Amino acid sequence: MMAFTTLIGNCLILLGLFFATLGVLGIYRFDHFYSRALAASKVDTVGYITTLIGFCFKEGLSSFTFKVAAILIITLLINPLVTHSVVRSAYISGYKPRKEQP
Amino acid sequence: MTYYILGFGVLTLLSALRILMGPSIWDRLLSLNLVTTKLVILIILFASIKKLPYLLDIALVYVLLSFTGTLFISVYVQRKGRL
Repeated sequence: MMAFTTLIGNCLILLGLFFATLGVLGIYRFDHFYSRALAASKVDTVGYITTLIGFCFKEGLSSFTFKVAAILIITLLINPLVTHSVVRSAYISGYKPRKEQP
Repeated sequence: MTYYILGFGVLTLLSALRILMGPSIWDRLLSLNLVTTKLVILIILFASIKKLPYLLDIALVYVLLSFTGTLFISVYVQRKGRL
């Protein structure tokens, strides 16, 4: 039973690493600021959630899991808030992304 | 477990490279947010390997401090330097 939960945790951490890699790749591949904001907020948050749930499975029931869950809940609250604040700041300041050269 | 540290470390360095080459200041702020989340994952990974649960308190404080920092920088840029 213990080895089974460790296996599930390792699989979830690998999946989170994959999603985080996709997020970092999206930052480099997109050529407009607002599409980069999409890749930086959604995909990276999915990788973060998956990795931290993997840690919860890996450690079992202890105070470690409780603290990791607290960090997860707080980050779920504030991570979209930060991205919204940055994009709102860019939109109100009148930042237009430059046309891409064909 | 050390391969996880290697993977997340490489991702952190790539996100930090985007801070250097970002065209506008809002790109740099987004990349700063990415670097923060990757560093929190690295802190939790280190605490899980070394069995040191008090490092999670440092991760919690780091999350809250980076939140206030990025929020105030973006509001400062939005109002063009007048707070």
